Amino acid sequence: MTDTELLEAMRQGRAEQAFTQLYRQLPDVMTMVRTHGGTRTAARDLFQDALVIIHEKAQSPGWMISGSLAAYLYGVCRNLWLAELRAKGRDEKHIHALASQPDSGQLTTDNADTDNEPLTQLAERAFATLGEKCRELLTRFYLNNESLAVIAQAFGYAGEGAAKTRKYKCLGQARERYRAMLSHQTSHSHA
Amino acid sequence: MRDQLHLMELVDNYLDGAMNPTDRTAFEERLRSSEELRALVEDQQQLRGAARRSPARAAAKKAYKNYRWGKSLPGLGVGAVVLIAAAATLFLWKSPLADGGSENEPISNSEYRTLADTTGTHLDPLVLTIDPEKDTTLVTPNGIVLDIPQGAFVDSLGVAITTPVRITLLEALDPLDIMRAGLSTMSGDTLLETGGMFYLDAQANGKAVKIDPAKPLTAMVPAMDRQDGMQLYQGVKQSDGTIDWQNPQPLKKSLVPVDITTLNFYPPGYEAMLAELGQEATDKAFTDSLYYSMAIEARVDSTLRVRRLSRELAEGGRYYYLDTIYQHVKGQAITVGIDPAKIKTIWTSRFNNTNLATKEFEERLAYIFRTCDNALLDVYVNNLDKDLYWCDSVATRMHSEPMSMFLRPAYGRVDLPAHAASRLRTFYENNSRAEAEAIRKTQEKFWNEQWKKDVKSDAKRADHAMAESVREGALFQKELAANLDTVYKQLGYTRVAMPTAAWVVPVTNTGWWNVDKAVLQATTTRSSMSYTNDKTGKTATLTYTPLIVEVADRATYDEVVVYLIPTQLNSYQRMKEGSGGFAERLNSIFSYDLFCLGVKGKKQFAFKTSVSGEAEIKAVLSPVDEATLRSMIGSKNALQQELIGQAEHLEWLVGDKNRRKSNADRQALKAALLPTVFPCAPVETYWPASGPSGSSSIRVADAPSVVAIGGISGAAPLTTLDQAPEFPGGTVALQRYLSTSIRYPDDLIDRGVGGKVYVRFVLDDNGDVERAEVIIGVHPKLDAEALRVVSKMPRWKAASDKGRFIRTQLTIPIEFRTQ
Repeated sequence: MTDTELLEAMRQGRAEQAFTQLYRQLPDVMTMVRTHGGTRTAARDLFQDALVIIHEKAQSPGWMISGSLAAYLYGVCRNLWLAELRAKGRDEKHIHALASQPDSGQLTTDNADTDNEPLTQLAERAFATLGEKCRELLTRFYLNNESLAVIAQAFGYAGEGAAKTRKYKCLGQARERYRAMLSHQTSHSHA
Repeated sequence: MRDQLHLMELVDNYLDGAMNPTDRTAFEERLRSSEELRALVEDQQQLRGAARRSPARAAAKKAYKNYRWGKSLPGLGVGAVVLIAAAATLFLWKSPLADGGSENEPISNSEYRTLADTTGTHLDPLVLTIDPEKDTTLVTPNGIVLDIPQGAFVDSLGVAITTPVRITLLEALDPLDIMRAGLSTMSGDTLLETGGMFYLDAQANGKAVKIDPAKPLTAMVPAMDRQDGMQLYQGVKQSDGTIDWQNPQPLKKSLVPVDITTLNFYPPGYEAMLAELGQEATDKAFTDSLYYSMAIEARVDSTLRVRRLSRELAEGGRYYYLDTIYQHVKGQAITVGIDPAKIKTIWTSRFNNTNLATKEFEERLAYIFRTCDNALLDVYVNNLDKDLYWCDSVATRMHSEPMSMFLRPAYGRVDLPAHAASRLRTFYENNSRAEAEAIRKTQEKFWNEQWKKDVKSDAKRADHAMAESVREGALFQKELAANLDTVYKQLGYTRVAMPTAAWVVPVTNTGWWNVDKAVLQATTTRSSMSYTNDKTGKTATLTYTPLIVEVADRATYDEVVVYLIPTQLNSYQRMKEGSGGFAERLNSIFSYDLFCLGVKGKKQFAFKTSVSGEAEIKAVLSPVDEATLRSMIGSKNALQQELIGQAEHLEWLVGDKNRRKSNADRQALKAALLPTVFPCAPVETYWPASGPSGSSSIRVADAPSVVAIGGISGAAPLTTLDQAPEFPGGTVALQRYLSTSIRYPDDLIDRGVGGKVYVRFVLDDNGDVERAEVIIGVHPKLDAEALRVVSKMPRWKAASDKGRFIRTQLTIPIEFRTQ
């Protein structure tokens, strides 16, 4: 698939297919992470995060990249790894070496991608603890922008009102868990 | 509860930007005052993001699984139809032949069906039909790439199949699939590590086909890690239905070394570019030396060098090494391309019978050039004891684009003892550095010498021009004196002899003064005059007649000068060359010798004749040696010596011009080649090599030389005058006038064309400029521009001597420089 086709696949819910192809870039990222103080596992997690980030960006129709998708992916991974190194206060030399690495092609320098990563991960974990129905409901709302009517029909709810109530109950539930995780984490780190 | 839900809905609207302005303002107001609300908005934003990402997260996990087992390595069809790839082992799965037939017999359709039927129905076969008369590349959903060369399939007699071939491809990349398919990974009693397998069947017209051994299929499964020791196994089906893997064979494509000098290690397009530039691209000695001489450009990795270059530039050196392209990076080393010194090191017979002396490496090198990464080249050169595919895989890690294309077939190596490889590695390391250093030194030495020569030759030309000014000033004096004598005689006056140079008469008599003035006018403009004294009725005339000298085959000479020698005056003048040949006006009171001197390369040519009165002369120059030249110039000893000197100067001048031209050509050639040889060099700074912005300056390089031509003291140097000529406002004003009035043509700035233009002109006793001319030029456009501005200068304050304003001749060197 070409870059355009890959992005199109991500927009049309065929992310798995696109990602499978993009995983061919993993060795490069693995080399980068491992030569800069990381492990294979870290590289794999990072790579997954990068795919998710790109998937999210690809949802807005106007989003474009000027270089190749592979280079962009590599750039996102690099920034993610840099952010992680910085966050953990790892060896300065890795940070320096990586930060001064010459960009091959167009790399993202958009650090906003990575700034809130720990919170984002927490939110994802909280979301993952929801029941399958709740997850699907919220995904349909927020990713696919489906209307209340459509969702009510798909889930067999009495009407839009019921769908709406369901939606915010799910969201409320997610928030409770998220808050719980957050306070656990903060108290933990203070301890 | 309901409130909470309602609040979340509000937050959603807010985050969606779906609120109307009034509500929005109100909401933002609440947001400012309520920390709780702010937290809610923040959380909800995060959770919405999580919801949006959750399918992608799941997809990414699945994709990783797909990928995880889809890794492996290139394989080769050796004539079998079934290939199985594994992480540590590459399996050639031979069909379980019922009839115990030959090894190369493909698995039969029924066998396949049996296998497919008996082994997990969840394996979806990929079935497609291809045209065997074309090259085909298949990519499976799991990313296996299968290259099928044209004519790969043959029938049992070895004749290429022309009818469509049906390909069946079965992937068992997941270990679960492999187990379900009953495909064990045992080799005898040993368990082989495997990550996956795939199965291939090909049929034409319902019959199984063979693969032409000369045209193997190539299968590539993307690998996460490349491991040594991968081998090709043949699968033999056992009586219990399991498969045993036998007869491991290393997976290699042999490399055939050729004579390394028959390969092409130039950057892609180098020779084509040379040919395009009209150079002798087939002359290997030339192309080599030119390419290697550019080594210096690739290796400016020390700040020291750059600083030294900057200093040279500041000192006005005319030659810049092309590596001043680095100036703008302020001493930072940047990679512009593969170092020619490295290529010089490896492109020798010393590397014969190594991986480098192969077509395969030649092919890779073309792409290595494109990456501009010297480290990539090092990988191949420093690992001659490893298989080429090992290097390919490292190269792919470094530059997956474009090096991954070489990963497909597994290339072996040209066998080389390890100690030989390490010796070559040392040689490569040391020698490429030494070569670079040697080339750099040679280049530096050469250009430094050229620069010194330029400085000297500038000075010599200026001296020569100065001497010419003085001589012609003196000649003018003599001619004026002779004219005055003639006129006075015609009018019947006796000319009062003056103690020094003869022509100036104290202003006691208007008549005489008028005569002087008229004669001066005539002599200056070299035009005829006639003056009648009202009292005596006597008339005096001076006659000037035109002379035109056309030199036969002028264009074939590098340089031609024509001297006019008034026989009575023991001096000579150079004729000016115009479009119609050399022209001057001759004074009828003299007879002249005409002397033409031409130079072609190092050969001298001359022509001599006598002229008087109006004439058009066609000068046919003939070759002369020095003796002939001396006898030709004639008996006047002092003059003879001077003219010989002129001839020598002319010969030197031609040599110097040719030297400069060849230097300029060389630099231009290198500049033109730069983008080809160093594809990663910054484009905007190719040429001129003299700076980032192409700024320029124009200035008077030295104080004008001044010669009085009409003072009592004759051709007096400036110091003896009471008052030197002065530009209104002084030298600073002159400087400003020139630098603001002269327009430096942009194209010349861009090309770095600059230098000193010497403009000579006469200031009359009013201080007006006349007879401005360029005596040493740089470039026609610059010459014309300098001349234009000098001719339009405002009136100077004329020089004075002994209480009188006098005429002076000035020469100003105007320097055009690009920075």
